[in-house]
Amino acid sequence: MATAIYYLSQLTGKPVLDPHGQPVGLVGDLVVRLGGAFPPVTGLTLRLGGVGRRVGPLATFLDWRQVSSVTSAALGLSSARLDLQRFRRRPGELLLDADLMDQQVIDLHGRKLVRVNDVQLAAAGPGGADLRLAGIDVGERGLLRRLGLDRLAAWLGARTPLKVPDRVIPWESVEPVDLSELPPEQAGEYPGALASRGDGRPGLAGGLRLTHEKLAELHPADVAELVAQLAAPERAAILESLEPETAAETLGELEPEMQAGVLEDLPTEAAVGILAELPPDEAADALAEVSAERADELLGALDAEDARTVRQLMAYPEDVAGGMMTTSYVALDAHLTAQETIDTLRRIAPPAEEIYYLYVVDEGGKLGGVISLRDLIVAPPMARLSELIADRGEVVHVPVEMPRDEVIELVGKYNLLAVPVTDDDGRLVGVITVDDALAAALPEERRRLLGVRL
Amino acid sequence: MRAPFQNPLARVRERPAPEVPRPLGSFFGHLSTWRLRVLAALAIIGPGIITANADNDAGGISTYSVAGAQYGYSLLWMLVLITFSLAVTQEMGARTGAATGKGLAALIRERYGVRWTLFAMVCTLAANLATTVAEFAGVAAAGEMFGVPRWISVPLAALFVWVLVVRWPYRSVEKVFLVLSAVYIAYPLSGIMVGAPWGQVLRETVTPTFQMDAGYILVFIATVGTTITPWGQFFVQAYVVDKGIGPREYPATRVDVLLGAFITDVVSFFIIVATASTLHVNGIRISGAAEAAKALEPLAGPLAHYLFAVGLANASLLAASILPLATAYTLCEAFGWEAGVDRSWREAPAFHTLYAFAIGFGALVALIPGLPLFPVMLFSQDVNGVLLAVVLVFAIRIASDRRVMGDFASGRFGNALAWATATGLILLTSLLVGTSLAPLLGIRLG
Repeated sequence: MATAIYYLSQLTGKPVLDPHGQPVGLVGDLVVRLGGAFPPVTGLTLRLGGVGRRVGPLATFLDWRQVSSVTSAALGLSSARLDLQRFRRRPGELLLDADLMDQQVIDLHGRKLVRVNDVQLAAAGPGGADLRLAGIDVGERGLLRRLGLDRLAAWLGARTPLKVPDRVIPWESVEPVDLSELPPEQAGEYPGALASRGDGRPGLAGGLRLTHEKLAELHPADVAELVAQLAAPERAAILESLEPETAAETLGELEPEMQAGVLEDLPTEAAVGILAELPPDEAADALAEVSAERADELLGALDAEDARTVRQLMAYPEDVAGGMMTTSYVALDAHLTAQETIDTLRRIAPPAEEIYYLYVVDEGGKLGGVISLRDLIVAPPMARLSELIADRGEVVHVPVEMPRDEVIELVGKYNLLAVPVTDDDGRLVGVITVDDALAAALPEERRRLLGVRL
Repeated sequence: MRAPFQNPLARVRERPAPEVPRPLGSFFGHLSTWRLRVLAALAIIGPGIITANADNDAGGISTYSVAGAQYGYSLLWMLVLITFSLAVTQEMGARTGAATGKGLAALIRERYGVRWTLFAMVCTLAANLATTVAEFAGVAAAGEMFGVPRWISVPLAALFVWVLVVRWPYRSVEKVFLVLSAVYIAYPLSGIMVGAPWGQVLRETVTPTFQMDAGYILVFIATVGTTITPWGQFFVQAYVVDKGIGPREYPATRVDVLLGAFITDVVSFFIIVATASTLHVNGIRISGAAEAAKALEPLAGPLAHYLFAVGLANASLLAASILPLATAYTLCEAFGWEAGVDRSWREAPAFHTLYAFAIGFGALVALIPGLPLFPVMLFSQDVNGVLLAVVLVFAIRIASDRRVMGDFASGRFGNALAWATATGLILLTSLLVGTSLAPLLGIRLG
C-alpha cells in the first residue's frame, strides 16, 4: 500500500472503531516515541466523552499495536477486546497534540522559531497502520485546515490565482522546545514532574526533558541566536539539557543580561556545571550581572580555585584592563629550554584561549618576556627561554588599571593578538586577547546589533 | 631547588590575585551603584506609566469629558471601582508576562488552539481598529481647533506615525510624548480654579447610582472600555516580556503597574470633575471638541481652546503610534508570522501589511467627510468595552492556570475582582443591548 499523508487535525476527534464498526471513543492525542527521522506513533489517548484538547487526568491510553487501520474517517481496532490503560507519559515520548500543536518549535534548517499549525503524519504498511511523524506544517494552509476551511483553500488554489501553500518542515530539522506541562492530577505520579523547582517558576515536565541532540549539532552562536528568542523558562530548560560544554559555549554567546537570567533560572548544579566550563573572564562577566546572593551561591558551589579566580576578576571595574582580561593563559618558567617547553605544552594541552603568545615569568611571577610559538619552534632545542628573550626590549604590557580605551589603542597600535596585564609589581596577572579588545572597541549599539558580547 | 618541569599553568592558577588598585574605587563604586539603581528603576518604571498615559488617549479624553458634561459627578463612583479593576488586570498581565516570558496572544494560542485564537484576534483587531480610528479622529479634531482641515492633519499624522515609528528610535519619541503628557495637569488645576464643590464630589464618588437608559449605559461601558482596554492588556504583558522582566524583577514592575493604574484614574477623575463643574452645571452638552475645551477655561481663559487641542493632539499621536504597532505584533504572535519593525517587507510581509492596514484604516475612516469626530471617539470606546470582556476572560483563565503560571498563578482576591470586571462588562453589554432594543419592542423601562 502506498504511503498516505495525514494531518493530526484530521485524526484527532475522529472515532475509534472496534472490528464490528462500533465506536469505542474518539481520538484524543497521538503518542510518538522520539528517535530517527520518522518517529513511530506508539499509542493514542482515547476520549471517552467529554471535551478538552489537553490530556486530562482520566485520559485513557491505547497501545498502537491494537490499531489495525488508519483512514481520515476513523481508526480501526484489531480486536473487540480493549486493553485500556491509564495514560502516563514515559521519557522519550511526545504527545503530538499537547506538546507540538500550536507550540513554538525550532526550525533547525531555517534557524528560527516557528509556530506549529499542524502536524504531518505518514501512514504505510497494511491498513496504513504504520503511522509515523513526518513533519510539521507551519504554513497558512495548516491554519485554514485547523479552522475547517481546507476545502476553501483547495478551491482558492484551483480557481483563483490565490494559492495557499503548504509549508511543511520535515521532522529531521525540527527541534521541539519543551514538553507541555501535565495536568496537576497526573503530575502527582511523577516526583518532581510539576512540582515547581523550588524557585516558583511554572513547572516544566522535569525529568522527562527532551535531549535536544539535533540542536547540539549547530554552532553555539546559532544555538544562542535561537535560544535568545525563547521565553526565559524554556531558554533555561534547553541550556540545561545540553552538554555543559556546549551549554557554556552557547551561554558565552548570549547578551550579559540574558546570561545572568539563565544562571538565575537554572538549578544550582546545572548553573555551576556550565560556569565551570566557561573561561574565567566570561564567567566573571556573566556573574557580574547576577544578584549578589545568587553569585555567592554559585561561586560557593564552584571549585574553590576557579571560584577564587573568578572573584578576583569580578573585583575589577569592567572598563579597565583588569576587567577585560582573562586569567587563562600560558606562563612559562624562564629556566625551561625550548624543547622542554614544547614537550610541556604538548603534554598538558593548555585550555587557554590564546597560546600563540607564551609569557615568560621569573620565580616571583614577574613578566620577563614573551615568545611566540613560532619563536619557540625555530629556536635551538636546548636554548633556555631566558636566553631567547634576553636580547629583546621590554614587552608591551598594560597595567591592570589602564582604561579600556587606552588598551584598545595599544592593541591596535602594536597589532597584537594578545597583550599581557601586569600589577604594580610587574607581575603577570592576566591577558587581554584581541577579540575581547575588539568587542570592547565597538560602540554599544553596534555590539548589540552584531550580537557581540564583552 | 625548583623542579624545572613543574606544570607552568598550575602556577598561574595558584598565584594570589593582586589587591585591586582603585584609589577612587569606593567613591565611584557607590556612585555607579547609585546611578545604576536609578537607571534600573527608570528602566522598569515604564509599562504601567506608559500604558497609563496612552490610556488617556483621544477616546479617553472624549469619554471622560462626555461623562462629566452629561452626568456630572454621578459616574465618579464607578471610576473608583474601575481603578481597582485596572490595577488588577494590569497586574495580571504583567505577572503573566514575567512568569511565562510570553505574550498573551502566544499563550492564548498555546492554551486554546487556533479557533479560539482566531476569535480572540478578531475581537482584538476590531477593538484596536476602532481605537485607531478614534486616535485619528482626535488628530482631526485637534487640527480643526487650530484651523487645520482634517484632510491635511490626518494624512500627515498617518505618515508621521508610519515613518517615525519604523525609522526613528522609538524611545526618544516616547519621551517627547511622555513630557507632553504634563498638559493633563491642566485638568486638576482647572477643577480647583473653578471651585468645584468638593464635598459633593466626594459624596458622589462614594455613592453608587445607576440610570436605566441606553445613553447612560453607553457612557458607562465607554468609561470602562477606555480605561481598561483589550490592547492595554496585550501591551502591558508584551512590554514586560520585551524588557526581559522575570519573576525576580517583577516586584518593582508590580509597583509601577499599580501606580500607573492609580495615576491614570487620577487624571480621569479630574477630567470628569473639571467638565462636570464647568459644563454640566451650566447645562452645556458636548457635541464636539470645542465644548470639551471649555472645561479648561477657568484655568487658561481664552487659551483653553488651544491648550485642549495640544493635549488632544499629543494624546492621539501617542496612542496612534502605539496601537497599529501593537495590533500587528499581537496578530503575528498569535499566528506565528514573522514580526518586527527591523524586518523588511519581504521578511515579514504579514507584519508590515497589518501595520500599514491599521494606520490606513484609522486614517481613512477619520477622513470620511462630515464624520462626527467626537461621537466616533466615544463610540470606539464602547466597542473596546464590549470586546474587552472576551480578552479578559482569556487573560484571567491563563493567569490563574497553575500549569502556565506555576506559583505565580492569580490569588483568590485578584481573581475575584478580575472576574467581577469581566462579568460586570458582560452584564452591562447585555443591558445595553436590552435597553437599546426595548423601545423598539415597545417595552418601557422604569
